[in-house]
Amino acid sequence: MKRAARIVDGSGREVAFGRELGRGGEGSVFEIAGRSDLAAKVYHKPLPKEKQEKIEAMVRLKTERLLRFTVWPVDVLRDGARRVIGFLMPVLSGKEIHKLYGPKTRLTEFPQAGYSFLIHTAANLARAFAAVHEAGHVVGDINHSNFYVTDQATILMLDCDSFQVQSDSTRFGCDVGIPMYMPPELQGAASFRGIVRTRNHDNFGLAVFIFMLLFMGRHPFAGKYSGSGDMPIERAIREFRFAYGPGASSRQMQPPPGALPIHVLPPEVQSLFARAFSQDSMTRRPDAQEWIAALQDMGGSLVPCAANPWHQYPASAGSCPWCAMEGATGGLLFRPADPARGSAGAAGAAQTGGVHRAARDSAGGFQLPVAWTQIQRVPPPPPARTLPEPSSLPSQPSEPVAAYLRRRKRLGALSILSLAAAAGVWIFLPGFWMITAGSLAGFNLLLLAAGRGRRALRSARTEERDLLRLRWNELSRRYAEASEPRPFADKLQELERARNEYLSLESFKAAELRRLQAKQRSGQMKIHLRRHRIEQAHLDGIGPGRKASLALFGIETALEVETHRLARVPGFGPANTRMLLAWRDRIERRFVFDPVLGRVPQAEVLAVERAVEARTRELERRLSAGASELMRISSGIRSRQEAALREAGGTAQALAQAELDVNAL
Amino acid sequence: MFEFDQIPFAAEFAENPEPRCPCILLLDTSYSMSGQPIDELNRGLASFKEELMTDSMSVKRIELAVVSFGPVQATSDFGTPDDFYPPMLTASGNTPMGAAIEKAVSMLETRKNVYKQNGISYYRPWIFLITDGAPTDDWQRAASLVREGEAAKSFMFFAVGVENADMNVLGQIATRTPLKLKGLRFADLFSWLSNSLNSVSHSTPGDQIRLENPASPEGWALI
Repeated sequence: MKRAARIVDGSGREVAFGRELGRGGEGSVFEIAGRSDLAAKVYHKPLPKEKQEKIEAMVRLKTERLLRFTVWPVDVLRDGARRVIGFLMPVLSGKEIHKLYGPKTRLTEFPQAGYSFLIHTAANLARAFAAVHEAGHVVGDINHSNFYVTDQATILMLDCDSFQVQSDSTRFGCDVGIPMYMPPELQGAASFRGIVRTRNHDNFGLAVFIFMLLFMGRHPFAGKYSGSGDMPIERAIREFRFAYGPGASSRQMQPPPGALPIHVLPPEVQSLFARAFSQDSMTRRPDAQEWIAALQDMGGSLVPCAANPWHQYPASAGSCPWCAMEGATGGLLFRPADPARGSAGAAGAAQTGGVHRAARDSAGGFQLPVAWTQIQRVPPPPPARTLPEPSSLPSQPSEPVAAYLRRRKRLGALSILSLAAAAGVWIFLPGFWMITAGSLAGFNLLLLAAGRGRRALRSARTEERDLLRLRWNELSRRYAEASEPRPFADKLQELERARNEYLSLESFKAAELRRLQAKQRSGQMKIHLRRHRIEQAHLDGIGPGRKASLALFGIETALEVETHRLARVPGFGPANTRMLLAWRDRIERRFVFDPVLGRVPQAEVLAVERAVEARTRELERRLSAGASELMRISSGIRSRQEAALREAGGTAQALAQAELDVNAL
Repeated sequence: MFEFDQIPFAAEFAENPEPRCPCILLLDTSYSMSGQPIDELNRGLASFKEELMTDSMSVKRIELAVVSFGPVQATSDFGTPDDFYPPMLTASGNTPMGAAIEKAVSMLETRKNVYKQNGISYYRPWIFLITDGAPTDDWQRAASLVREGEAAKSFMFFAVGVENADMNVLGQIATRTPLKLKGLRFADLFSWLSNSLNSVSHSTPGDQIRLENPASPEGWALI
């Protein structure tokens, strides 16, 4: 680490840095040697005077209560010139909050988290905001990586040095913020510098994060917009288009398909969201205390799902919304229940005790039969149908062609008549050759007229037909491509392999342990053999000279007595070889395994167990996610197929028409 | 009381409703790419996935698709990096760049519609073209699609030329200045791309993103 001068804390003691724990745009965080409870943040660049004062003020303003919810600066770090270059803070624990509210990451990062865990985290987030607000500060920089959640559902806020901090009459501002978590009145601001942030601003962001925790990661302003053009989240916020609110449809918004319907929540929670996000109440959004009360009540009202022990839902819902959502979307929202609950909120725990028991009894973590049944229930993509053959479609010539054909028939008939007239006149009235000639001319003119337009019409239709034929070929190719069932079959096969491996893990582990045991045995055997030296052995016909030449080839103990080694020693015949091998054999037979000495070292057993354990978890993760992945592949194939089929229908019709027209002409 | 219809793509958006940033890689696999260039490209693609996977937000927000041309085909359709399996590209055929661009633009339209149907917010999509030649087909329509798309902010189109690429034609197709890859530094290129996408995934849809200049002395590109 390159840092020239020595760095001291507020009381002038030198601080020894350890490993770099993380690196951000502003600064890096380091371990402190000998203090596992503290970490140091050091800025990359020298700090302006105001920021130095802000950190000094924050250290003065630290309280027990703030430190329960934030990694608040507890001491300054100064360089040789006594400039503030960073600060000490409590060590961070937990994971970013977005890993909890997004189901995809929740399943792996917080596998134990059920709905009560999410509600609990939301209430704790509100408690953290309450602590900051009661101390007179504003969080300001609300974002998905600044809140950490522990496996006890508690919250730690980080990057506190960007908070807006009030120290007596001095206010240190907050210059940052991510627009998608900012209230409408701050949308479109070119910079946050100089803007005074208020608790009411914070209350908007708090409501957004509570919403995301309760709604499986959905943002309250991301919905289906029925107007034209795009509706980015910030614009939706600016225009008060809360997708789940009572006025959503009048603002051309509706919740995304497959999202949790808001009426599932207790009425108090629904009305808090409405107040947080609507224009009428934008000056009096619900504060942290109101959320704490409502969320505590909600946590206490959860009931277990009868069908799936991993599901808990508010009694106000009537039936299990998660079963409905998982069924409709094919996505997986929850894994096993929620032991974190035990250490939090006793009142809630008493009421939801039934949930835990039910969950423990039947779930106890991953269950292969459950996961496998879910996988097998996924419908395979529909097989490729034969596309309607363009020529087999019944059809009449199109109107312009039909009209042309009718005209030609008429003119054709007339021309026959005039030919007949010419013939008649010529035979019966040979003197009237002029009439004959006239009739013949009429015949020819009529024939000409009948043929007129045919060439133009035919070439136009032929060209159209060729284009359609190309398009048809392209479509059939695309359809075949879309119907390719291989991705589904491949995934299913992969899951089957995972299942077989999962089932064989125990026997694999046993075999590994046997192998370790065998290794111990062969190790002891080696030692035993090595103890028997050739030069000390009485061997008929092998004198000191022979023994010396054996030693020259590295054969000194019974261990080295091996056919291929002996073969290299000059002058060593089959009789001597046989004799030496028999000697080794006798020694081997005298070997007795010492089970105490031969116990497999604990570290090696643990290594096997850890490897098997890790593999077990990996396979469980893959198998749990398998059903939803399969579903996604299957429905992807289906929807691509349907799109191609729709287009093919129209093209087939047009092509058949064109073929028929061309043939008719 | 819950009435849900089956919805295509719903599982991926139910499990991960984060806003998406779609990115299409348009990769030239014409015959001239054979040998070291295509090997380096394949290696670059594999490390690209790895780098995107290291950022927990990018894994949820970036969606990759690959269209290779010579002949034009969608080698992989849109998916988040964990779902992206880098294809093993082989070089053969000519350089139908125009058709490839048209295909990319239409794939983006389709994907955006899927987002809209599912109430998923999205960032301005990226089209990233890498080629070592000149188009062997008609590229005028593609060029006007790119101009329209950039003007309407419906996507950003970046063009990168490798070795003997026709930078002049690339300049006529792309509205942004095309970049020339230094040597075969595909690994650096993909590393830059993943950093840029990472910073997008930490912003808000609609934000202006300031990208690191790839044509700096230590960068991978020349202008």
